[in-house]
Amino acid sequence: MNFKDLMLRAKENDRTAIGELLSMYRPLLLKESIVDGIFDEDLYQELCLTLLSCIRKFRV
Amino acid sequence: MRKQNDGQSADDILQNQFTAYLVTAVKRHKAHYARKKAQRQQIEAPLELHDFEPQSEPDLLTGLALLEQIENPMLYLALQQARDRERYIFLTRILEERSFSDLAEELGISYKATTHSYYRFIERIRKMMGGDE
Repeated sequence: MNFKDLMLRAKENDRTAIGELLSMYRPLLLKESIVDGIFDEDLYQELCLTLLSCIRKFRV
Repeated sequence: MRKQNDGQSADDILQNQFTAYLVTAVKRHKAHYARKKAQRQQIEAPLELHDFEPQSEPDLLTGLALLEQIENPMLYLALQQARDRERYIFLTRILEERSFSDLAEELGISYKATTHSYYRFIERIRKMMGGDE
């Protein structure tokens, strides 16, 4: 499945597609959640939400 | 095997666009989060550090008669129920640190009677206060 289809399905609230995108970008989110060498769980949570809103807003 | 994103096909370009978009959004949200957190800490920190410095609270007990200074109810009861001589031996022994022989001489009783009275009383207090033994 290519990225465009995945994105389109995720935009239609397809849980598996969203899950796949989330696991695809999880390393990025984890890396950004580390502040001063400490993993910030709350920040990670917020960034996951950011990903979800990005999926919603992104225009294919 | 997963194919590498070489940025050539339309699909790869789309994915790269999304990644770039996401990275920007994440960076901005992170900055926002850091600001909020700093704000929160600014509000919370003064409360923790300054307002609860140990102020030596006035000792309400000083100035009261000895029996009224006792906070443990059982100890109070025990002292009230004690016979005069018993209480006298107990208090002088502890508060004024007088020796038993000294007390025995003052009260006109034997040394042994003084120590017996003292230790019996201690034992009684321990029982009333629910200590071990």
